[in-house]
Amino acid sequence: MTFSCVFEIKDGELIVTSTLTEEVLWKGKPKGYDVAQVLPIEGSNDCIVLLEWLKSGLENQKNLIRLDPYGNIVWEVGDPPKKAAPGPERGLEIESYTGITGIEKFQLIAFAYSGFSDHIDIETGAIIKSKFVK
Amino acid sequence: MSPLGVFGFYASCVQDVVDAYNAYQGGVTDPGLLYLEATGVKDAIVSLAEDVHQLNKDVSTVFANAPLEERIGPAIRVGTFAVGTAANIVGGVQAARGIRAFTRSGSGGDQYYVEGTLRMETFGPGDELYRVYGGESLQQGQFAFTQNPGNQITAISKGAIWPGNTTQSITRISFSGPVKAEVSKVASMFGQPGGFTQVKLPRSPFITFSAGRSLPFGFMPFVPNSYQIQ
Repeated sequence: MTFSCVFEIKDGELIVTSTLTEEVLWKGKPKGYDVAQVLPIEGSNDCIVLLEWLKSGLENQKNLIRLDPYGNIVWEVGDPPKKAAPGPERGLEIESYTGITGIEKFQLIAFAYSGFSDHIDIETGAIIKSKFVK
Repeated sequence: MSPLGVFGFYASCVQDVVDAYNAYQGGVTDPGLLYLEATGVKDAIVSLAEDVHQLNKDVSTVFANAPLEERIGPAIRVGTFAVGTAANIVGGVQAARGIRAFTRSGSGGDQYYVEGTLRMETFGPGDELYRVYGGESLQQGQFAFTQNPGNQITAISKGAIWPGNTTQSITRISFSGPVKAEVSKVASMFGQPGGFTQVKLPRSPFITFSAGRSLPFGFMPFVPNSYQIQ
């Protein structure tokens, strides 16, 4: 699969460039936060973006999002996942993801500061499975 | 280490040996324990358990108020055991701990478990905590231990860490300002005893995670306590 967009991070900004025209389609900091990690999505020109977790977390903002090539948010994840994990320590505040650990079968696997590993549906942004890994 | 310290160390090892042996008796299909059988380590552990049982009886006699002539034989056996088999008992205990640690199972919990002894403490400059991670668990997370486990086996065992956390790395956490955090004792999970003191850290700009280092397996006689020597 070849992508018609390339994604790069420079000085905390995400830069989306068309490989066909070499035109910069979008450049900026999503939601105003530094970009920590970006992953292209197979079969799509969208990407998964992880924003700086501490600042966004302290400001109660979700930091794991899917963007289209023009910087529009397709979905963001971080609502307290009560259904996926009924533990008493979840469900109180917005999650902060500190890293992405993998992509498996259209599921994004991300680690939350709270110690949970969440499997997220790439299409919808819904948390499918959640495990406490400490 | 004082002589009593040595015996104390042996005594603390007895439970690990017994646990491993009981685990074998209760679950022969466990791949880790079948490995233990296949490699003959099980026999060594059984033999070791018997030796330790004799040792415990002898130690009781040596330190009893019995006449000297009754204490000489046990004293010789204790001395011989301590010197002659120290390496074996350490190796056997480490093998038992290691097998138990690396054959942990479980699907992962939905919540974290503590023994209900929660308290709040304030950490600040000069305080250090240690976080063990790897696999699906990353460097920056809110759970940390008050002590450096020194190796993966101890981290898994005392920290009762789920299999998805490979425990291959460790980071040291320091503080540039006051951080109030929940402190608790790790409860038993995934076939591990738990027991470490763990800290659940809030999000704070005063917390710094050091660059990660690899954490050794732990098949060694004594646990290194220094973060620097890993």
